[in-house]
Amino acid sequence: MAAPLQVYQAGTHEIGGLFPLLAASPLPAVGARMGYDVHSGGAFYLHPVEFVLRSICTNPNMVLFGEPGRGKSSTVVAFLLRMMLTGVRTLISGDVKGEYTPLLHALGVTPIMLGRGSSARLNALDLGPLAARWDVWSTERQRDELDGVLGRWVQLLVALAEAQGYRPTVTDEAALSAVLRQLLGVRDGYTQLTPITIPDVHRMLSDPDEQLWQSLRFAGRRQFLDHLRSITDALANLISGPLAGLFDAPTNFTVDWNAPIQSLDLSRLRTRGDQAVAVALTCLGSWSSLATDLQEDGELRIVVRDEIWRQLRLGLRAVQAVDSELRLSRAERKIQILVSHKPGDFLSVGATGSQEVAIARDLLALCSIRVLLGQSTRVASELADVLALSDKEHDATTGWANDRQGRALWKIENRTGLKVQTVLSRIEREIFDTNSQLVSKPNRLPSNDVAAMPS
Amino acid sequence: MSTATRIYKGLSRRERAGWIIGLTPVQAFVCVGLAVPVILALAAGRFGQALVLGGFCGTAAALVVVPVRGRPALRWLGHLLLYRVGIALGWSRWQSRAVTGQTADLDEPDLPGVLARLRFPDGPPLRDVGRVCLIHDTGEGRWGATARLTHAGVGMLSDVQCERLANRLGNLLLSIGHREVIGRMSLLVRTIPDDGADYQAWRADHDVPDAPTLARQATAELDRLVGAVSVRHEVFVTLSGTEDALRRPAAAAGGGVAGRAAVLYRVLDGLEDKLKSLGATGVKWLSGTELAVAIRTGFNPATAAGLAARRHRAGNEEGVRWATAGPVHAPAPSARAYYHDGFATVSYSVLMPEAGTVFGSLGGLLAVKTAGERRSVAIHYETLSQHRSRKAVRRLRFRTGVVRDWKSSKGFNSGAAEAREAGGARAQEHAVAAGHGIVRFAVAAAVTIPETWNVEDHAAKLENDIAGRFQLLRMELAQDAGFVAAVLPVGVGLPRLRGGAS
Repeated sequence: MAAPLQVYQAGTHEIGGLFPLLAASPLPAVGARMGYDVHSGGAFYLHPVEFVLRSICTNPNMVLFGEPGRGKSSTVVAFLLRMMLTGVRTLISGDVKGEYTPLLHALGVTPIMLGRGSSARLNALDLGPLAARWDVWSTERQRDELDGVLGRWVQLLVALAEAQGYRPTVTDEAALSAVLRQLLGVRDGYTQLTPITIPDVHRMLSDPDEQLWQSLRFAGRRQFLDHLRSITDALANLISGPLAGLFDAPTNFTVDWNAPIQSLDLSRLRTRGDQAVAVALTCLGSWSSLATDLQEDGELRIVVRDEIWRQLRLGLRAVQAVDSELRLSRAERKIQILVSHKPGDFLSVGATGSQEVAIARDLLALCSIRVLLGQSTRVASELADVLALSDKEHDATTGWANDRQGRALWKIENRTGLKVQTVLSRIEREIFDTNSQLVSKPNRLPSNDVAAMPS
Repeated sequence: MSTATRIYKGLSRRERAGWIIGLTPVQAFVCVGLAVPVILALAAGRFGQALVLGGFCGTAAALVVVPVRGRPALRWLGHLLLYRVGIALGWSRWQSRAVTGQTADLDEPDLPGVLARLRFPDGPPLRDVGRVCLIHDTGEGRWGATARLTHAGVGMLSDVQCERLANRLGNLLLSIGHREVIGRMSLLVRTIPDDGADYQAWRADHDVPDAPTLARQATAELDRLVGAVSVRHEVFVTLSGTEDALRRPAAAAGGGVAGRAAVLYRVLDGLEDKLKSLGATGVKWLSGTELAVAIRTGFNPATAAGLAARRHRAGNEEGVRWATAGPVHAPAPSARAYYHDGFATVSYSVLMPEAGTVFGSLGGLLAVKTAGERRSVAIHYETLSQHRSRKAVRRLRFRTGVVRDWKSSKGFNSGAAEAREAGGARAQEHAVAAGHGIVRFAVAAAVTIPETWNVEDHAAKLENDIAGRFQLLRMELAQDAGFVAAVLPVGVGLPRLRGGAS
């Protein structure tokens, strides 16, 4: 017997009112199970690389926006921890507030601490794995890799000079490139690379040999010194300024790249000022990308860039550096995670209409996965503008997301936003509690911090 | 930004609405027939006899006319008779041949009830998506195909965007009416309790042995916290056309199954973009084994876990063979629920509210409240041809107009409902004149739970969840057919329109 369904007739102009496709189809159950989608009641999974492979989005980068205390770092840390189950390793490229350090301790990994009370030194021009692999490479490969490294270092030094208000010229860049090449010893046909530091570069710029200024077509030594005075002084500030002793000496620690997570904790650097932290983040960014580029394990790696706005404010070159990292993430099998407070951070990196602002604005387009945690109304309007949110999505970021920690609107490329509640397990809650610093624990021994200090 | 949410009206016009004070011509004819002896008796002056006849015929007329729970008594009687005969002759009991070891061919469909008349031949490959399974309804003479949609959802869309989607659905149905081959579309949404089988299978493949213990502990705890309570949504669309419409172009395309497939494919390809404009991010036409999986998991949601594990092991959609797509065992359905493979389903026909409805109001039917419960909603649409649409609206305008004019000529006031009806009829006629069409549609909803749970309790919860928005009419005595209409993506559910839709 046929089902005696009640049959109706309606016009095609009204029938759309009965729209059954209401809940979103779930994203594939791969990667880290983050929590649940409030609308559909389904579990929410996240694996940016699988999403790219399944054509859900075009790049594996993520950006998180949220006011302090809304659960940004908990969301990131939960993701990192859950991805470890599938062998994905993580590098925290500059932990400004030391938020990731408890996780490292819980996993039995010692973070690298830079700053007050720590003897750790990181050579901004560290050769990293390059030195170890140099001998086994063919001449052609050596040339390729060297070009890559030199390009990166020139970018770094230029960015550092720019951070101090000096806008380098192409001549400066050419000079830096020549200096670095000469210091490395490759011009002389040595087979072995010579480790160098920023003071070496400074020394060479302030006391150039004849061959250097001649090869750069300067009329004389005096002209070379005068022309490169600004960039030489900018580098000098790195050696003698608030960052003295941090990035200007040979690296004195080894990083265990096989550990599930590695972090460079900058929380002890905060007393040296925002500028110092930003410069440190730039040095770290350059160093860590060189170090992870050459890891040939073929495995996925997550790179977390916390408080990205500090780095972006250093100027055009810093913005360009982040931009190129994001563009390369697919090829290098990396998941880049940018953590920031508000989109305004990206738009206030330079004057209105400037190149840095244009690139910074495009950074958002290079992050397919946008996580919008609770925001105040003004910032939320900014977000709605930049990401073209619908009214309901806008309301979700100002209302719903503010009601509870870990609630966020997840916008994956141009798909409709998903209201996701991140769920933390009991163990995670204990480790990730970022408010623990606000609670005084008189009986607690400061053993953890002591153990964390690298010798 | 729109300030008011649009209310969609004119959805509650029943297809078989009566001409005269709500009676169908047959009912009116029976009533007149029953009145004749009474009138004759009165004319002959036999008042006593007239009184007795009046009582008798009046009761008979009431049985024919007064609907109780959607059906007049005589229809109830007919359905009860069919139901009883079905049980007595063993039609409705079901035992899979595969279980009894009588299966000769594993690719031969072996399905119960209404589904027995369906055949599932594989069509030739469609572009690069592989072979598509055709659904041949030998009873009604229809050919169709089913696709699985991935959908972005509408939860975060603004009212304007929602209205745009509603218009697009209307336009899609209109365009279906303009195509000669396809006439029907069924959209089916069903939730499935997410037992995390897919995730477990993926994790088993990607797990590294030296993962930190902490990560393992946290994940195990989350499996219990999140995994146990979540649900997933499956969306299917089935498009079908009649054999009559297909025959000639199919013969030109080579005839047989391949010819019919070729004709259907032309239309399906064209409709894919329109489905995407409804918010679908992916449209995947199902092959035979994939459709068999959809039917199998319809009957037995618990098999989803095993199938997911198998799919991950094989690396592709391995599916199930047609001989095992149906339930293993289904006893004769009880009057109020259908039991199949350890699950029980209660199906409903969804009644449209007179006052209209807002976009997304069906959502309550899919809001699962208890972990392990499954809900589904299916809407079957059929677009009438332009000619029939015009005829339908003209008849409707005439019908509402006649009664109102008669009342006003006799000095009666017409009520608000009548005025609304007349206004709606006129609006519909204007819309059709402006290029819109008329769609006949039926909405079915169902709730499936493990057999050991209290069926009535969950049925009542479903009714409660949608109370105030839609009324649900339980498909008593036809729960097995209701199950097919509400849960299985085969496009069966809408009764045939007398004289055809074109």
